[in-house]
Amino acid sequence: MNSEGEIYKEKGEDSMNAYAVKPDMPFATRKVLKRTPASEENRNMVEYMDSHEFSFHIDKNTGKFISGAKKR
Amino acid sequence: MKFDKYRLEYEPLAKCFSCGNIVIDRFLKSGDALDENQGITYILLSDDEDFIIGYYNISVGRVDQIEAVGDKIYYVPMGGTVNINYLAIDAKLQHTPIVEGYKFYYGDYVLRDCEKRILEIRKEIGITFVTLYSTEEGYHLYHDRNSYEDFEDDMSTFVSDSDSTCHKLYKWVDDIID
Repeated sequence: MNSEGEIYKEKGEDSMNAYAVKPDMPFATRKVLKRTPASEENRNMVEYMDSHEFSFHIDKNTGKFISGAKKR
Repeated sequence: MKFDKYRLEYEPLAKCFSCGNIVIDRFLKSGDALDENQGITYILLSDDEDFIIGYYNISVGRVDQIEAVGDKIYYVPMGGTVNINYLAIDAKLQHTPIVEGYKFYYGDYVLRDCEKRILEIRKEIGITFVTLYSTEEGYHLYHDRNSYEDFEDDMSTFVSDSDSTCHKLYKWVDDIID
């Protein structure tokens, strides 16, 4: 793992499996739900995703995953 | 990669999908993911459309304000929601950046598509919040990286035992980056 990989780990990437499961109970609150504007990091990430096209395929010979990105 | 609405013809691919969570896998592999009464399912496909990278399922709901008047409790609608019922990435691509050197992941990409879709849906029907139950494993994606907020403990009036390890999260649709 490179130095950036260590950063991922610090941010909890070890357990980031992107799971959501269906609730069986309603959402209800006694308080006003506060607004939370996107963080700077979130904005940068979304800006990058929205301005690029991504590719992904599996090499049929090697079975390796091959991904790429190009600017729209 | 491309997103597509999940259809019957994708069932053979769904049988190969495995995110490591039996409940979430079963939803996609069973007919439930095709049942529009249970939400609409979208999948992220590889370029060759021979592999499901991830999926999400959304349906509508609402958030209620709890108001006590005397000894009676009333539930007043606070706003309509889109609930992310399921969202998962195949285990083979978890913890994997989409592009080497960039700090975002397939989970971020699938969630972004979901949020963009919600912004489009809101043009047709009123939606105030996005809601979801995140597993412990997914919490960082939503809360730390994509600005979702916790329902605080005293808000979680209805958490059942089976949900005790999950996190109730929400985001104002107004806070989705347009």
